[in-house]
Amino acid sequence: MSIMNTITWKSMRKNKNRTLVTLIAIILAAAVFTSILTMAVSALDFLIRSEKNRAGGYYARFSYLDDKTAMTITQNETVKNASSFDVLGFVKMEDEESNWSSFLLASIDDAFSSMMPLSLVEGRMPQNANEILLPKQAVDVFSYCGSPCAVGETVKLDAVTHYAELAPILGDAEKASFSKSYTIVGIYEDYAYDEALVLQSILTYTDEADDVLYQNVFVTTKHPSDAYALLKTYPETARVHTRLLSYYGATEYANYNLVIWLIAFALIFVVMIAAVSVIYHAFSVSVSERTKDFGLLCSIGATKKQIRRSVIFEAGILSCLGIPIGFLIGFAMDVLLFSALGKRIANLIVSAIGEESAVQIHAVLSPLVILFVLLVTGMTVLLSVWIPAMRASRAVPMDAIRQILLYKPDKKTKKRPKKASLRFGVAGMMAKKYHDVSRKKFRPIVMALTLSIILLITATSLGGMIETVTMASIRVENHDFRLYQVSDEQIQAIKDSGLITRSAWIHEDENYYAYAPNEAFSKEYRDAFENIQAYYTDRALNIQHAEIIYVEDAVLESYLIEHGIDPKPYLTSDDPIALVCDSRLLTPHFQDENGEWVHYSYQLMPFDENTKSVLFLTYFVPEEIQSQYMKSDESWMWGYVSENDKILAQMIPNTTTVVDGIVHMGGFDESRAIYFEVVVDENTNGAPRASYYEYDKENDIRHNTPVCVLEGKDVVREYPLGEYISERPFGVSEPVSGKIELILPLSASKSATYWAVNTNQYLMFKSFLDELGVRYTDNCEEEENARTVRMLLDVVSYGFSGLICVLSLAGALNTISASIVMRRRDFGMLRSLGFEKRKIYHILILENLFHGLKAILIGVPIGLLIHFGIYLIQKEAVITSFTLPWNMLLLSVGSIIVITAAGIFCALGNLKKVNLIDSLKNDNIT
Amino acid sequence: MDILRIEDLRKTYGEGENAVHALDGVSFSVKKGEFVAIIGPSGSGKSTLLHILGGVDRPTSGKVYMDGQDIYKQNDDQLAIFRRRQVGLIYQFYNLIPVLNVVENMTLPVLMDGRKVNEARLRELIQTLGLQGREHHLPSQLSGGQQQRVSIGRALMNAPAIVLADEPTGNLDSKNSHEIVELLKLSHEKYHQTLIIITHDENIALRADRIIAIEDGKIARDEVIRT
Repeated sequence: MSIMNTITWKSMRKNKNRTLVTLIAIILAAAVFTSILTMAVSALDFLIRSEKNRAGGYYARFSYLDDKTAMTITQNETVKNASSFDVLGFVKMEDEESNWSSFLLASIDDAFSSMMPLSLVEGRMPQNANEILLPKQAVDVFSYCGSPCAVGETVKLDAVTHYAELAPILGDAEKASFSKSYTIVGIYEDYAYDEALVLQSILTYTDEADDVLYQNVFVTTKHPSDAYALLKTYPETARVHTRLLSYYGATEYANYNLVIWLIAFALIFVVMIAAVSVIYHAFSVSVSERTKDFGLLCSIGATKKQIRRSVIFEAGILSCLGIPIGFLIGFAMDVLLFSALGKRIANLIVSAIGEESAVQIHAVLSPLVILFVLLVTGMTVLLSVWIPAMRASRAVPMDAIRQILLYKPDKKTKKRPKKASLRFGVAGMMAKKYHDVSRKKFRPIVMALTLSIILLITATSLGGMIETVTMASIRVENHDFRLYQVSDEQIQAIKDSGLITRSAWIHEDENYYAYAPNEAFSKEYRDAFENIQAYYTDRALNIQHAEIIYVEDAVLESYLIEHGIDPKPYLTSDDPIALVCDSRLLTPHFQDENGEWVHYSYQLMPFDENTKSVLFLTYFVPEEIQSQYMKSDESWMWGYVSENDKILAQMIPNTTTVVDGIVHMGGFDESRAIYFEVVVDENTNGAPRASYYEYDKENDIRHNTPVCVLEGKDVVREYPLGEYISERPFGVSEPVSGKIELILPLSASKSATYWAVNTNQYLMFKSFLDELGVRYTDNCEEEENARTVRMLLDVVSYGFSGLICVLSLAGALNTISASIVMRRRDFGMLRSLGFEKRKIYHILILENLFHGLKAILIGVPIGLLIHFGIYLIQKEAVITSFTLPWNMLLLSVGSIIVITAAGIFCALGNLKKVNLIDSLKNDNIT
Repeated sequence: MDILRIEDLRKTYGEGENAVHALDGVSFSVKKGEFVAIIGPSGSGKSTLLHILGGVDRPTSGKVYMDGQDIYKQNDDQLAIFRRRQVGLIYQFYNLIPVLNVVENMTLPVLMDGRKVNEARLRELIQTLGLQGREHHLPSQLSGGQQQRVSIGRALMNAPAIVLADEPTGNLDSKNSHEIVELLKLSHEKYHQTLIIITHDENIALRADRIIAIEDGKIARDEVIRT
């Protein structure tokens, strides 16, 4: 170690507190960087594993290939691994009642099971062409049809080699068939839900002697993006595994990889700023303390480079120590977090992506993260240390030799009036002088305090936004369980069990189309919507969706009494008044007549209090369905409509205008197709009409020509409106944005959707329901999930923000304290002149009052601007009104006072250990 | 043979009305091995002169030749190396590095130069300066006189061409002052080094070969006492 580094090392050991503060800042920065990056890598790893588990680990698949093409693809130089799935025929299993199911019979190679989400439930994989593996789904079918289905048994399969769906590929080849006996060697299951995948097939082992109808090839490429090049080579039959590739960051759109890294880097950027501020101040203090050392070293021949290097050496030593410790702490934090809350985090991630997952998330130790943490923390430390190092290298030997702290007056100071400072006596004058004469010297303090305020407001605001946005999508119910389709016996058993404390029958009747006369709305609301044709007509203002919730009469009655509302008009079963739920009505962006985007938003249904009276709800009933299948006492039904010799099947609520999807089921001889949502309009005679359009899922396009048109009639009902309520009656869900909800007594309805119950024995009641075989929704578990998510968010957002604030405040504390300690010669001089200790305290307090005020004046407006920016971003997701963050402001001002006071007292504590008069003698530089 | 020659040296602090002329056209030369005492009242410019001679402070104008080379033609790094190798500085307040022990403080200029410490010279200096048994003490564990001895040791360790001492006894009692002057004189004679000392003490000045008196930034008197 060179002498310069020895001096640095010894100086670090001597100033243990300062070294420790810097070290802690580096450790925290490295820990947070590690934690963020590990979370990003772990989330990506989780998504990749989930997707492999869900749909397989292939990058591209090629279908309907002949031998030669399959060979060409597998031998392509970009292909890393390939697996084949050769279709041999189609096995049709039929029971005595002519119910049938069909299965593919296919042969697979050794690589198939490692590339596709296939797991053995029993037995082993087939090892020759006379052995088969049955899908779990086939076992029941085989059993119903009286075929052997157990492992070890031999089954004779009759297969055909022609299938209507494959006519375009197989051409007019004659329909052939073959029979072969196979030994069942295993049963497998898969998690695949993609119908385009070829699982759920009877699988045997590849044999060159078998006649193959066509081949499917699954490949991974050397680099994920190569899959696209390969795709272009064989465009007719190829498909890429888009979602998996998007997790690898190899897609051009919906690039989840990029999104996750962008979020991670945005967070890292914020942490980096906080960390730089703290580490910078720590080094700045260190350099200030050692200015005399540097000056002296210069006077005896140290070069600027040597001085600069000695400061960077200090940074290097602390980094070498801090980064590994920080890395271990950050990684351990993630390991603990994932082991405690892994399931919840996994649910949170998959709900954001819109998929389900059977795998779990865990902390992944990646060399990439280690490299990034080294790089990012190294950069943070280097950025922090660069200015102090440059300042150190400019140390003037004369300053060291003269041994006097000389203040160089700022130009501004000369013209400053003295009156203000004199109000506080000599202490005030001294404080003002110190503050005015050398602003540069005190700039780090003001900067540290200002940054603390800004970070405090920003971090709290960010944390609030994350929590608001996430919690807005989480609904917590006011009841424990919802029971569906419970029989009278089950109801009695539940009541007799003594496990329920409260219950209510609820019927939800959704998807109405609602409008109300114009005069029922407030003028402001009418003005806002006047130009929007979709909402506004001359006669009425459309509200779009509405829902009627029927609540068990007794429960509704007690609710009304509890809320001081006369229950009588609300419980008349013939013509009850509707309670109006104070739901959030969301009206997002619209284009006005000039094509400009306008944003309207209302939190409450804006009826005029004086004129509110009625709401009209309409629903469309297709006549064809109504005449053939509608049953008034059923809430849900299946409707079958024949048209052009095709079978359409749809599941619709009996009083609805909106159908989520309509699926042409297809048959053994027909291909499948999916049709999209119904659009209700009027036919040429003014009668309502529902049209069904084909939906291209691959390209997310709805075709223009309807494939099915149903004519029917609109049913309009008039609802008198009663009181507005914000708290829901027991058993009713929390509101959904963009929908008006009316509450009526259950006696006005003819059915019930669910039975809401509360229990005093959660686990016992749950197992009781399981034993009874009742279908239910467990709100307690969901509530627990929501609570955990909230806790997680609190930990992540507030904990994280708190950490940043603590870092910056610690930096400020250190800066104030060190600045005071460094001036002990001045204080010694003042003491020698007869200043009492009390007056020195006054100087310090007043001086720091100036700094604090200055920091508040700069920091609060900047913090508020950032808070407003965050509000604007938040408003895009959740409509809330802007409020001034008084709590945050009070907190930040309070923090500044506390930190300044703490800084002063810490410094005074240190000064007490030193005899101030002795410091005047200045026997050595320190 | 002149080791040091200064020509028309001027140093001004401040500007305009506030300008203070610390040195105002000072010129003289010093022979190799000469012991020069610079005396003068407070504020006369003697410390400024010493710092400029040591390459610590740059003059406003004028030249300083050390062994015939104008030292202020060098850049900052070259000047730092010059100070390290050619000059030994001794301060009134010792200016030792508090975290380094006696040996480390003494060998600092050698170590900073990346050279190996001459152990024989170190031992000899410790012996000469009477610091035996104190080698591993920190400055805070030494008396004022002992600290100044370490400071002298540091100045002599590199065998510099010239030793500059700024009021080396200014912070010491008379006994310690006497010892320090004896040591400086001894080392001057033993190592044949050029020694320039700034002092208020006439007794110390009278022990020099030559006395230069400075008043108001100018040489008021330059007399050779002994040859």
